[in-house]
Amino acid sequence: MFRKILIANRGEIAVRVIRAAQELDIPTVAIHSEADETSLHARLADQDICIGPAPSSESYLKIPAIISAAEISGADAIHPGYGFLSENAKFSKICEEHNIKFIGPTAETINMLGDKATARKTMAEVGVPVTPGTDIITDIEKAIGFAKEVKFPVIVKATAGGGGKGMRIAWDEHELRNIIPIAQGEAKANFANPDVYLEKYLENPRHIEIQILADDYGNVVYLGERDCSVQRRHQKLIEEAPSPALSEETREAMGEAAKKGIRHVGYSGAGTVEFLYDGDGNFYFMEVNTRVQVEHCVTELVTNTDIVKEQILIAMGEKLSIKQEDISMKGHAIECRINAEDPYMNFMPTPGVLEHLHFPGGPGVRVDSHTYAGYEIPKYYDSLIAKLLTWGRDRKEAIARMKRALAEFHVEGIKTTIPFHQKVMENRIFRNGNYTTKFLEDFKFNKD
Amino acid sequence: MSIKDIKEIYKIFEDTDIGEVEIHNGDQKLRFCIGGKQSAAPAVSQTAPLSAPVSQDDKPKVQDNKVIDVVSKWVGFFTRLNPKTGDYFLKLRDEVKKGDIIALVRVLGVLQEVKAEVDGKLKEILVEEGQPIEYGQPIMRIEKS
Repeated sequence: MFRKILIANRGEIAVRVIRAAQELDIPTVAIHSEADETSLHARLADQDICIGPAPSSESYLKIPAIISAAEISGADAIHPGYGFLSENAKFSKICEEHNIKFIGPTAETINMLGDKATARKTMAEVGVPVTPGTDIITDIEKAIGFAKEVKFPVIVKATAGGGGKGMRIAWDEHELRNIIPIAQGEAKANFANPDVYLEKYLENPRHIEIQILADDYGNVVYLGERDCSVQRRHQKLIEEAPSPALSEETREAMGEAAKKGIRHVGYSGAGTVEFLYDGDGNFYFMEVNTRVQVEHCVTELVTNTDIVKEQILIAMGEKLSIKQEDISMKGHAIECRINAEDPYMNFMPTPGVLEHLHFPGGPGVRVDSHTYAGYEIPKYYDSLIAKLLTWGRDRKEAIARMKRALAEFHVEGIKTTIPFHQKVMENRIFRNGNYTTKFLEDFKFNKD
Repeated sequence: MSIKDIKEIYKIFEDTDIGEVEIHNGDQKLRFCIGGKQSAAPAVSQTAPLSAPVSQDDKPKVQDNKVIDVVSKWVGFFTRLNPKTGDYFLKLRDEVKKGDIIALVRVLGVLQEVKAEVDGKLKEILVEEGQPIEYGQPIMRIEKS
């Protein structure tokens, strides 16, 4: 049993981890910046420590201050949440050096899976399908030869990139010749690593990911998939489980492939294997996220599991309590990310005070949030204010509940993405489940 | 208690590191307090408009015109002991010059220096020796000279 868990994060995910720890009867330490003194995570934890000023680089990303906070509070484990230091191999290593358990994979695993080109190669070794692609580009002519072979378009990706950054699409040879040096320059500037590689670009795929849990004893299970195709500029806005596009055979094939890859790298903890799905039974490995995802809750609702608690138990050295045959998806769950953004103003962030706030409730509704009436959303961090989830016996009921819940969700003081979600819930393509990652490009959203 | 006794006691009190002391002797009660009773903020700050912006980054924090809070820039363990001499860097009522090291914060085994940002006199010590402290926590108060 951990003595005390320090949560190296903020916002709703910090609250989520505190709740899981409380249910496991483990005391918690919240760290916060000066701007987050009134955030719910700082209030809910058993102890809270201010570690720096508002900018993340001086607080939530400042490793010595975080480790020192663990030391002075006597925390023997750190949960990194998502974002910030959650996929930072160096941080995982430093925790280990200070005898603090990092709740996540080892530095070696994070490094291996964080480097996209290495991850692709590793997955391909055990037969996980990957999009046709190259190794790191050292010769432009070879890259062009590859693009011609698999037919344009192709995508140039930074091996150290992620979250939609460090990617460029080339539609013909001329464009590719120009893009490669630009992409290398950008990769060097943004990720301190100029390496880029090529992949066949799927024009109209779905983004489908498999939730994995793996323990230290080689046991791996998958908790079904999530469809995260509703994205704006590679940022997910709506997620659902199960995917309306997968057949039972494809689901199983995808899950088994993810399991095989995860087992191959000796992974431990919760993780997500992301795939692109072409809608025709073919799926291709994209990347592994070595942390809990924002959208993990949709999986929790349909599989009746607690991914964060499982993550903590795995880190404590316990064996997985669930077997693959015990896992099934029941009903349907949808998540809408309620952001402090103005959807009518190109999703411009709208930090400010939540003067009035009322969360929806009733059957099949879950809200994960760090906010409350009177809370001021700081301008320094991401704009997520709440994750609104609904569960229904089927997709139709989940959508109906989401519509009801969005109407009940009352915010005054700032603009949010609620009207956008309401519009999506009414959209014919979304309701049919026939959307792809291109959905929002054609989605008309006006004030009408 | 005679005046002489009071003077004697005060002398002892002055040489210690205690901020406040109260002595009862039968019906008699004697109380010493560093800096006297907590002084009220000067009128000028009381009449300042409520809407006046207060920058969070202003350090040191100004308690009133004369008393300055020394706040920690680190997360760690507080100490006033100078490891070289084994003595305190500074005792209550000691004079301090801007730039003087007045305490240390042990951050992951490394001692970080806390320096005085004004000339003055140490008026108050707000944390115990060895106590864990957070970023931005007031640890001492200096009365500006």
